[in-house]
Amino acid sequence: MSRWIWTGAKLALVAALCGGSGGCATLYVDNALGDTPLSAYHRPATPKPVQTLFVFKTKGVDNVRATTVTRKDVLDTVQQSGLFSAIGPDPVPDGAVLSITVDNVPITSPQEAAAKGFATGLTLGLAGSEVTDGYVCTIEYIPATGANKISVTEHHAIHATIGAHSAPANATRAPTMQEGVKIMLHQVVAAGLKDVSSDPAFDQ
Amino acid sequence: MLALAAVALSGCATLKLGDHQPALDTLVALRESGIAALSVGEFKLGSGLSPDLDKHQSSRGNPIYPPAGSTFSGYLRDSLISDLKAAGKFDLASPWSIQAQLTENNLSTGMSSGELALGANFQVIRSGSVVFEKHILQSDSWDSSFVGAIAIPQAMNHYGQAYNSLLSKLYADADFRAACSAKPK
Repeated sequence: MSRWIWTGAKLALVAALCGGSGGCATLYVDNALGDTPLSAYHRPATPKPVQTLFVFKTKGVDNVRATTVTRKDVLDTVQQSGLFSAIGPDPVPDGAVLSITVDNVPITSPQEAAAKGFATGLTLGLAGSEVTDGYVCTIEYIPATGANKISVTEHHAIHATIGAHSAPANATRAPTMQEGVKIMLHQVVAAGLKDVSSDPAFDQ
Repeated sequence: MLALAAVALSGCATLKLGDHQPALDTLVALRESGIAALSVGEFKLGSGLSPDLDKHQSSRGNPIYPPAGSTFSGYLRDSLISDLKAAGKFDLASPWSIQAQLTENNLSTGMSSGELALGANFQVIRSGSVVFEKHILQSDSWDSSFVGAIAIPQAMNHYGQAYNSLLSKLYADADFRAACSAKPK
């Protein structure tokens, strides 16, 4: 139940302050980034195994609970990319390491989200609210021990409307909060992996 | 799901720390530290301290537990092992062994600020002799909020990160590196 509380605290906060009126919140995944087709990856002729690290942060601070619950979704995206022959937490013979960090950063501040949620709750949903959670994904790849690091950054966002509020422009409605976060993670990690694989140093 | 979250946030909840995840900076630092592979001995509460220090922590009345029902000193040990394994520096048969005693485990989630202190006495034993001994303390403070739904997860995150920061201080310690150096003296 609490799985997504910590990944989208501000979104949950709005729901809490709007009175917990079930069904009043709707999530939208921003369309700016979109999906990365499998054909967009620059796959090496002979993919190598890689040690894979993942950390979810909230405003730059490690969020170990969110890391634990989102880890599988992120690693599934790495696996599906086909860029590596195997992924896992243990070191690999040539020392290759892939590190993925997703940081949940403020776009609508927590204080502003609280005020909006409170106002929506106070008016029983007639005064709708919209809040946005931003996500910055940093992917770093060290092809082998001692090699230079490849580093890329991607941005994504999830919007939430509470009460009587129109849908945000350029965003796709998510069936559930869980699904919305999953889609966001897949899109932002896939876009980062595509850029990493485009670096000439990736396949050396 | 948001409505469920609202219910969860409106009352007391039990908060469980997630499993420690090694960071790239830590992994690279350990790889380049020149230390030998290490084994990990006993981690426990410092002598004379209240057992509560090792078993109970909370944020505004919401109890925080380490994963798998272990103690906080056990969580520190598991985190250390996780880092060493990720860096290829863990070896049960190593002549070097690290042990530690938890000395500080304080978390405060105030209305305007939060703060914490996490500390431990670390020792490295080689062939029955103590070759390194140091108390390392990690302190942190941050802007908090009167709204529990903001303040509690924020405190939880800072508290979880304190374990990484404490261990990073150990790995960066020049005396620790010298005591565990793989190069013959």
